[in-house]
Amino acid sequence: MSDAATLAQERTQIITDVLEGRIPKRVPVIPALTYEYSIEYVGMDLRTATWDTSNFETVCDKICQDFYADYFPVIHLRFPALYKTLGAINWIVGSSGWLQHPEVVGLNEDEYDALIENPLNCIMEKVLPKLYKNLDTDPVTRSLVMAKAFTIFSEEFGTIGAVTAKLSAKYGYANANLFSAAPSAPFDFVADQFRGFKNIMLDVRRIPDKVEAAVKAVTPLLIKMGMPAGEPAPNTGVFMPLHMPPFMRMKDFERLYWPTFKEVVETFSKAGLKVLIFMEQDMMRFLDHFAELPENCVLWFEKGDPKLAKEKVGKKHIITGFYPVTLLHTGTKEECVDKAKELLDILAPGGRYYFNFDKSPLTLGSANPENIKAVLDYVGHNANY
Amino acid sequence: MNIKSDYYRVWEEYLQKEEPEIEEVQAKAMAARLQGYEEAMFGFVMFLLV
Repeated sequence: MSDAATLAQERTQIITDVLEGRIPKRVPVIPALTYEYSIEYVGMDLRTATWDTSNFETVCDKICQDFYADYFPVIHLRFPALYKTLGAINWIVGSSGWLQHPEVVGLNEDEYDALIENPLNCIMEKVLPKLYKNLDTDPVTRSLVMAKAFTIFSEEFGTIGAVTAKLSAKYGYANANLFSAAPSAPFDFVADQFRGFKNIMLDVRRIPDKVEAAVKAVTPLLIKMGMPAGEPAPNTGVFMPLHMPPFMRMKDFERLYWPTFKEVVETFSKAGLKVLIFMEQDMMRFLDHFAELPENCVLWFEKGDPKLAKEKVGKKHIITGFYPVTLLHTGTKEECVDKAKELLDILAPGGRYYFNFDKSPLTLGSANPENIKAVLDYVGHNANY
Repeated sequence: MNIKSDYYRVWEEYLQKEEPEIEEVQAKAMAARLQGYEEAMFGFVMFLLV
């Protein structure tokens, strides 16, 4: 067996152990650097690099060489060519090459009933043409735009899949796929791109029955989005980034957010999927709810109290995150490594913990790569059980 | 998992109902492949909304 294959076997074992709730040989290191950060790190121009899919391998290979990880360390989800082709208003390519996500409204208030009656029909007929203006045209042109967009989508994900497999074999990364799909929580799905942040907050107060019905109506779509065609391979995960809870009153959360979200998570878990939940912002006041979810969900925390999280959900679920990316920008190497030690002391005992930052660094200016390397190296080589 | 919509088709049912002249063995082969594209397009549409 080659060195890389041996390494992959060991890494697969520690990740399998942690995802199954067993104490692994050491704490797995699963960073998620954005492709945009990675492009800047290798010195390419973000304005042009994402337009050529062949850059993905070059960029990722350099990241794999330079940064310690037990799992393929780059995530890439937003494709300028796709959004440009569609005339997107929800993802705008800026002059610096960044994709910006402005506040958008894909569903007008008087279209709630259409969404509730048949969500997919409503999406195709009413929502997509609002968010993607090149689809708001005659049927012939629209069919061509859609064909081009789907081709881009397939090419981009085809490249990501092929490069991930190739580099995982080369560098001996674990055999796992924690991002097989990225379905939203149903409430977030209606909030993010259908009604927008401002409107959904008003709707929750003014027309909660409509919101509740809409959230229930879209739930089957999100379950379908995350479910694999057949039996999932071991260590297959779905990624669910949660957006709105920190902005909601508890009674609204319990009525409008939690029931359908819980249903989605329970369905995925029952199907054998690992559910990787990104707890955006501070979710501490909802910890008791998350304790109700099926065992061994992965809770990726951005902010909050790691001790409280360990105490309330750490015996049932797997915890990651909490490490502030801001420190990687402002701190010295020693301060950054000390922070990792502090979190390991709190979160590693008893297992059910892998190392990742509180969020994915976006720009080179937001996190010093030398600090990232120091932290990942430290945890990768010192966090043994 | 199936979704009721004018824009989502379950090919096995469609072929049975709309094109019954196609032999079962052939319909099964067609459905297996065409359903894959149906699912891929559904996944694509959902991706556009997250």
